[in-house]
Amino acid sequence: MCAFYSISGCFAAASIFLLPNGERISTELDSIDIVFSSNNGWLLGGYKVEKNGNNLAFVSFIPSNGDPAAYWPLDEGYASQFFKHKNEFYVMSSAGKVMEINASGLSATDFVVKPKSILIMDEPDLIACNPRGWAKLSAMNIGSCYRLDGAWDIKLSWTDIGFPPQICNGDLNVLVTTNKNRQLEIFVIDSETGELLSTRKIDKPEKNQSICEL
Amino acid sequence: MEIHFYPGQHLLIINRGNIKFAQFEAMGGPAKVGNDPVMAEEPTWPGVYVIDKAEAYRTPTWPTSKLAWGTKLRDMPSKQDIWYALPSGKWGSLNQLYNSPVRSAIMEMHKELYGKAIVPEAWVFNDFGPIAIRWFKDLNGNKLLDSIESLSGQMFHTTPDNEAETTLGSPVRLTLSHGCIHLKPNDRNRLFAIGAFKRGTSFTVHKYHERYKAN
Repeated sequence: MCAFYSISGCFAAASIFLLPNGERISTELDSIDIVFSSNNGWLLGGYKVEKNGNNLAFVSFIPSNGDPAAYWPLDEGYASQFFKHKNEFYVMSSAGKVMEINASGLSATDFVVKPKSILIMDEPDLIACNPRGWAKLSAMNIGSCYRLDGAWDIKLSWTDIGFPPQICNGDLNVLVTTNKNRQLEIFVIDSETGELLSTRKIDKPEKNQSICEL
Repeated sequence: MEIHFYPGQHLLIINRGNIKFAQFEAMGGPAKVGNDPVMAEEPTWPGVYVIDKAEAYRTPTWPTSKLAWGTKLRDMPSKQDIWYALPSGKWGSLNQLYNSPVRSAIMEMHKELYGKAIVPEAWVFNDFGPIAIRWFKDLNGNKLLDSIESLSGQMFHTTPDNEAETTLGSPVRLTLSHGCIHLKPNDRNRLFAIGAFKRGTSFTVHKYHERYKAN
């Protein structure tokens, strides 16, 4: 995920944003949350603001050859992540859909994802995890990690979105919170089989630490 | 004034001089311990207690309860962030608080509750609602929180869903808690108005199988 920097307000149909590489782009989006470099342009995930203030989620493609930008609204959720898999580009929505991005727009795929998931690994297999719901009374009272092809799916009490699971030395590492004494543990999982390889207790991590450092 | 809660009937009775003065629907925890891995749902424990204070409750246990209800927010779309008002008068970053970009998730939560994907002007996601009413077991019988006494982790409160339903004028449907007692927002206001939550008020949680019998 990269950062965008707005250098002008939303006073007109178009806003100017500064890409991480220093390039300025003009877009109809009023805010941009995620950006991804594709083969021939930039993929943007963001919003257009309606007159009543509601933010409509969009995926946009800004061609690098100067052709007009394309804008595709999302029916549900927002664009939470872009990824490339086997030379195709995809967008994952917070509602739990993966759509392939091509010249004609967004098309449905057979990938099965859960709402609020984040993709942890995109090659050779697709692995995603979803955290426990934020709210105390969330219907999702436990998180999980799983392969998108359905090879494995394990329930895990991943609660802290500030410390997302990571691949460390080829294995999936997840910070798990348990009820007993607020214990924090790292679960090490075989990314191919989903087998639990080991667990280790840890102290509360610092905010700038990654899971692989714990 | 006395408060009596019958968890098996989802019933809260307010007595004045041993005569029923008012009653409300209220929902406690399940009759048996649940399986939430973060904090297992538990029964609302039977006993005789004393009402202590009302407060905007915060706890890091639940992500949405890190901020007190009503904390002022400022949308910062150009920074992909939301700022929140600090007690000092300065502003903090929600992305820093959560160690992750959260603006989209906040707007989605608002849409789920209120039907509109916006950054609200104030935090309306605290799991304990705008105000929680605390109680304690009065071990020495002096109606004061002192000595080795401590506030119960169970408390009266509303939920973000019920607050949104009330704001939107929709039917308010109570749900089982993790052990606290869920109230409807308008009932909470009425309970305050009649003085039921005055410090020192006696409060009894009855057993799940007990049934209220009118005098």
